Amino acid sequence: MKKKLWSTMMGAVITALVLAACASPAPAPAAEPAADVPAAEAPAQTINIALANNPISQALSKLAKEKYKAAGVTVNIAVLPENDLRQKLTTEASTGGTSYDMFFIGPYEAASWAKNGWLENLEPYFKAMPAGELAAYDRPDLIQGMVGSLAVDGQSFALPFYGESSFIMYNKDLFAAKGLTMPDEPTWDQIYELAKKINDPANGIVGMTMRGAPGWGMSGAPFVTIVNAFGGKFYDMNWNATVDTPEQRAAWAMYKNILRDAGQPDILSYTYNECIALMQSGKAGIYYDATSIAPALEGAESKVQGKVGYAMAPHQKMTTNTSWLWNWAMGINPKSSDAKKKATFDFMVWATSKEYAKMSVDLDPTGSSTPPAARTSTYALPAYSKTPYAAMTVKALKAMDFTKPTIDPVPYVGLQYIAIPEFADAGTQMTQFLADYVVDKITLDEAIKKTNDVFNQVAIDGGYRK
Amino acid sequence: MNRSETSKKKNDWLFILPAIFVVAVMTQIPFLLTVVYSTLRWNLARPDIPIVFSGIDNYLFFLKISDFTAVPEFYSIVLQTITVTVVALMICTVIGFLFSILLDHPIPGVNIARTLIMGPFFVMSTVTGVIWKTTILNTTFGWYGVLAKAVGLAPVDLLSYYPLPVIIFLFCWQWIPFFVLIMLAGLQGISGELVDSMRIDGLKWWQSTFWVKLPLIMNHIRVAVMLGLVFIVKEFGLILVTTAGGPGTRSYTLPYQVYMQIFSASNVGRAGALATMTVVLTLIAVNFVSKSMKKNNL
Repeated sequence: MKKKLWSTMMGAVITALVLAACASPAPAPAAEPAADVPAAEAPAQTINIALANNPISQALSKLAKEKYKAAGVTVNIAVLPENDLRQKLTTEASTGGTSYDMFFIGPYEAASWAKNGWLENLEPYFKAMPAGELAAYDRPDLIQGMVGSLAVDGQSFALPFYGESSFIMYNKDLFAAKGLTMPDEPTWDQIYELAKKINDPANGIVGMTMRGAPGWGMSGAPFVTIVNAFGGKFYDMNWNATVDTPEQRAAWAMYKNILRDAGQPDILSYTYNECIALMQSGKAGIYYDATSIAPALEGAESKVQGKVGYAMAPHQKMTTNTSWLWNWAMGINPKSSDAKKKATFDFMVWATSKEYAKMSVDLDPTGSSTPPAARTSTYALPAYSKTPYAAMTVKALKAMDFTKPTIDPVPYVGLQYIAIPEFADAGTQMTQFLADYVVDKITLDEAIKKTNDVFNQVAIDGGYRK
Repeated sequence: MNRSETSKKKNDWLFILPAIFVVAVMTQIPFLLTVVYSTLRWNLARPDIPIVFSGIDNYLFFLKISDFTAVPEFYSIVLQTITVTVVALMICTVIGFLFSILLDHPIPGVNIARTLIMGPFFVMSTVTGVIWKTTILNTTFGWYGVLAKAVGLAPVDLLSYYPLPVIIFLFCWQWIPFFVLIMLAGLQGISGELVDSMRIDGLKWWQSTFWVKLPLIMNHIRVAVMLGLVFIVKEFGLILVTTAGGPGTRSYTLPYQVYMQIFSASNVGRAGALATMTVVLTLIAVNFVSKSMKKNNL
């Protein structure tokens, strides 16, 4: 009898669970926060946050544990690999989950998530802020290009924690040893020639390192800027896929040639973490990646500290705007409780404040922990403005134009990606075909054809093509 | 007596009802929902596009062959899944049998040896993957790279150039202990009298092994192969952490493709269709293996 009762209960519980899990996850539009946002002295709250495992976010995790004090608020921080974080948060937002109260995302997510109601509008929170605090936070000091990439109709949905463009980093010692010089504004052809000259497998020297691991936010980022530089594009104005063009083919071949003729041996297992480690060890000549990576190369644990030169992102047919724009931004999960939302907002304001930037420079005077490209005032901090990469970073940030990524007009925006929700999948498939092609598992023709088919399918499925 | 027995029989089903209910809820309802999802056009990343019934469009998306010059992704993934599963099962069976013969002898320390050989089975598959990928197969920091360089060879990035053999090897490394466990149990069950009479009849070791012992444990082998098939087909974590399906889709299996459809593409409908087809293919395979083994073994 007891057993029967028990199994009936189990059955009921399981049914409930299954039904809950299967309930339609279509998200309701985000509710505007009520004017009476609860005060900070509300009962004890625990807010859950996930960050990406890059050095600057890891520094935030450390500083938050040591320095962040808010009455009755406990901050739980998990640090996840970038690809995992992105998948986890996308699933969470699209199904209305509440395991995380803050979304750590990029402009790619921000634009579509805000429209889908998956992010809380931040303007009411700023309105509710006391005037003194608001003045100290100094919103105009945030770099406006970054703020703009996170806003819809002038309403902010996320705050930029740090941002980046991309540029060339090179090992000045290795260049001097071979008597080579890096132009300030190199072309991809020049980079390829230089990389081949530096490459010296017998002595364990890699000519050039770039992300090789597939993923739209992984090898996709440098690769799409190469496509842009070569004058390629992914769609024409009628949303017909344009992957099969001479420009695209040249870009695919350039990426492969650099990595096969002068790149790291385990090409496809290199995420930026492996690239950074290789560059830091002094065994790589050239490294094309995010501006936000430079501080790690100038950190105390780096063997190339003070020996790294910087140059603009390489160009080819297109001569300007061949770098990328990205930021890591913080938004609020609209499904969290009002008290948690307020606590999350306070944490976001703290993490993106001037004081945080200053605190991070105090923690690490080399600037490796300081969030770059989020605030103009950061570049005025004495310790930070002296860093070897500050000047080139500012130059790279000024050269970006988020809305005009290609030579020919295109129906999309975004520099190292296409700002449509389907690109995460299509771009990942593209980089998988690219990886296949790089290690000769398929030919260029097959890779191009498969990628073109994927992009055409996206245009049809997503209802873009009229 | 008679009467009470009938009434007892009549009411018997009432007692198993909760159990049936639990089993149905736990196994059938999720599957039925998957089948329902597979008929919908539903992309989680595009809440602005309405969810509509689309019939068998999701199935056709994978199955259709638009031109015959290139093999569609789905078919090569099915082929890869079959290759990985069949090759891994064969290696597991053969090497597992040899190991279990070895461990069937009462030599000193055999219990320690038996325990040690179980080791890989008790390591989580994701941990197995990370350890093999980073500390062993990495060409710069791993043992393989260091040893290859020490003997003057240029280490090749095995995970990128030979993804399927590496995956198969890791599956075998992990699943051979399971096969050993079951076959050893079979060998231990062979009666001492039979072993003695084999010795008296003067059978050579290979005669006794392959003519007598192997047929005697055929039932155990069948169990091992069936369970192994089900486990290896759905193995997913190991692929995720080692090759992540790459390069390209060269080490995708069906479960990995389902994962990518739902977590990367957010496409519920297509993931549902793919999952349904995976279940159907697995059931067909299990039936096929079971029948063919019965036929050959009477």
